[in-house]
Amino acid sequence: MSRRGRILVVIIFIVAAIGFLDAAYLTGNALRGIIPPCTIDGCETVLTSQYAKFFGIPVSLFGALFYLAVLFTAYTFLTAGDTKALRALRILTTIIFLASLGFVYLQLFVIHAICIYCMISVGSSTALFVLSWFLPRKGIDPSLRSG
Amino acid sequence: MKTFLTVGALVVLLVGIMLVFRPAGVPNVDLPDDAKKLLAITPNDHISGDTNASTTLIEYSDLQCPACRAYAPIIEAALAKITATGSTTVRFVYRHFPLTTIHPKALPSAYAAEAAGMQGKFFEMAKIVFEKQDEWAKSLSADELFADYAKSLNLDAARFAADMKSPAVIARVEHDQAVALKLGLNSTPTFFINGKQLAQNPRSVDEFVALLSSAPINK
Repeated sequence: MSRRGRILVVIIFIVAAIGFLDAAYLTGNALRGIIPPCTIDGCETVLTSQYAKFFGIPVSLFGALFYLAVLFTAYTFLTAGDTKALRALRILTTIIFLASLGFVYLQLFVIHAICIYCMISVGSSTALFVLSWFLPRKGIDPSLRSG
Repeated sequence: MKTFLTVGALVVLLVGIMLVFRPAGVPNVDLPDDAKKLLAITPNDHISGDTNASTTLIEYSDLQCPACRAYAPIIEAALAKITATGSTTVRFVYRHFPLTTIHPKALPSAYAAEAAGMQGKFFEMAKIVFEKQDEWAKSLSADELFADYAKSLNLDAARFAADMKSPAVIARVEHDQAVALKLGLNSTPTFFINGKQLAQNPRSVDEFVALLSSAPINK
């Protein structure tokens, strides 16, 4: 992959890190029983809705794990140059993006409130999805192989 | 490159784990001197407990806020626990911070509590309003429900209805709201213990008790 391609994956790595930390923060609040305060922007309405958990597990935890997987695949590609990691990256970013679209729909049309932390995740997932379009489809960069 | 990425990945992972499992410390937010004047207790405040207590807990609250409703029994239990142990004396001060941008009935509910307060039943009305939040928050006739709650407290119905619309009650709520905005608050409930804002709300009765018990004494 060209230098430009490697920079692209580094950007993916950084954006995924932002998404991961955002999801980790929300997960920490959910797991620790913190009661979300009412804010001027109405975040707590979303965080205390029935859609904030999936079978009792905070949705943000799933998000954190997905972002972690994106980080891992980006790291794997950047250090080993394996295109399988790129394929996994595209699949993961697509899944996260589609899930985010669902959450935006829920916020706007069902819950009727928006949470800034959730929208940060939407922004991250959208950026990841768009960036993944520009990833190469095949070929391994020999310069990334170790040894 | 590999070393940079590895270090970066480990830092992100470590910070993420800390965010998930971060300790329950409740740091304070220091406020400037003029803010402390705004927080000074006045005879006009709604005070529950020992008026000469060594510790003051102020809550800026919105009666339509689900989080404030969740904290109401926690505060009640924490104050009862402290009173029972006698470790310190606490006075609880309720101030209005209606989040009118997201809670369309925050003001009417605040007026209802104030109107009840005009007849000496502020905290009793606030308790009922919190307990029945689901009922009136979704109702198209919330004022009628507030009147029913007033009736259950044996308040003068006509006076209650008039006070709910009175300039004095409206001004009272507006004053609290203006002070909250001057303090830079943007969420409810927001707590102050002896003039120090809690950056993070306690999660339990025991955390509240610990904070109140260990607070520096009012000067």
